[in-house]
Amino acid sequence: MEREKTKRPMTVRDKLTLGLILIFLASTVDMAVGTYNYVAFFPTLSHLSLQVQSLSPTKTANGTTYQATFLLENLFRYQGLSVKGVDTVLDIHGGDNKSVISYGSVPGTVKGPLEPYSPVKIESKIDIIDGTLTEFTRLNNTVGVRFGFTSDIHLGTFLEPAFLLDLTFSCSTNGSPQDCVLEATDLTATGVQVGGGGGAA
Amino acid sequence: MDSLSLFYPERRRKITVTLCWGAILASILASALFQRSVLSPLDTTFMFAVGVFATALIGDIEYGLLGYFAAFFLGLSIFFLAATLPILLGTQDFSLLDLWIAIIFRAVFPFPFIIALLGSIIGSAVGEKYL
Repeated sequence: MEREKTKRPMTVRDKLTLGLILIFLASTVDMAVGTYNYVAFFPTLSHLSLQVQSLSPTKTANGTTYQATFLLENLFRYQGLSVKGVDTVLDIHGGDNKSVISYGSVPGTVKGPLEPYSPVKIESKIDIIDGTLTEFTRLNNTVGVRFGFTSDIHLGTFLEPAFLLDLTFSCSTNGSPQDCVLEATDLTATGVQVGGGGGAA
Repeated sequence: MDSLSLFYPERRRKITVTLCWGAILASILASALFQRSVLSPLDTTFMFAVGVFATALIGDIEYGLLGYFAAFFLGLSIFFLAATLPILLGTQDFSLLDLWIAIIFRAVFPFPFIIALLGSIIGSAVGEKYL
């Protein structure tokens, strides 16, 4: 009886069942790779760095234009982050650390994927009218100024469109390269309905 | 070519197919929800196709429906376990559970669930008639 079972010819159904098992094996590998990447998502949030790479002044007709270059980097292995936008606010601090000029919003846009260990460059231009900084230091009786940036970086993640990830960095520099400090990581619900079998936005 | 009696008796085939089906559903959910937290129409199509294929192999409408619910439960369980791994690894707290329950239910119910069920019914009919 047992012999008869093993001699049974392979039917179409048997072959298709083997096909399903092959699909199962391939999908198991795919899921393992996807899960390995997903598990790295949360640790990655504390491994994102922003750095002021340079702050170089250029003389213009009626003042000075500072070219600020920031480097945003994902220092962990997670793949799937993208930069959706950057909002940077600048305050210029006097050498006494008390007096402040609020410059306001600094233009600078960048969009695209944020791959691991592959920094994204954000460039901003800051126009300062001639004499502003000199007058500022004279009035406040201070020496030198520091540029204080607060950057809100909006990141796209797998949780879109239901959740948005915002990172807030702050950095203070006198022109030399400086690492920024991660002040806050906010994962906020947007209230957007997801799923229901419909197409992804 | 001789069969290796791998799928004999038929009950063994049904169990094998159901287990593979559940794992494939988990993989479809993982590849979609770990990237964009929603199921695209293509993902739903895959769920439908796997349902047709698996129940055609089972070739029994009663077991096909039972297998569908078993595979769906298995797929969701495997995926949920993978999604909550950060809690087990200690990188996230239990609020992640609420997040994933919300994402999974919004993504899977009702349309992908119904479409995959429809695929199972069609597959059972095809299997009974042609295989």
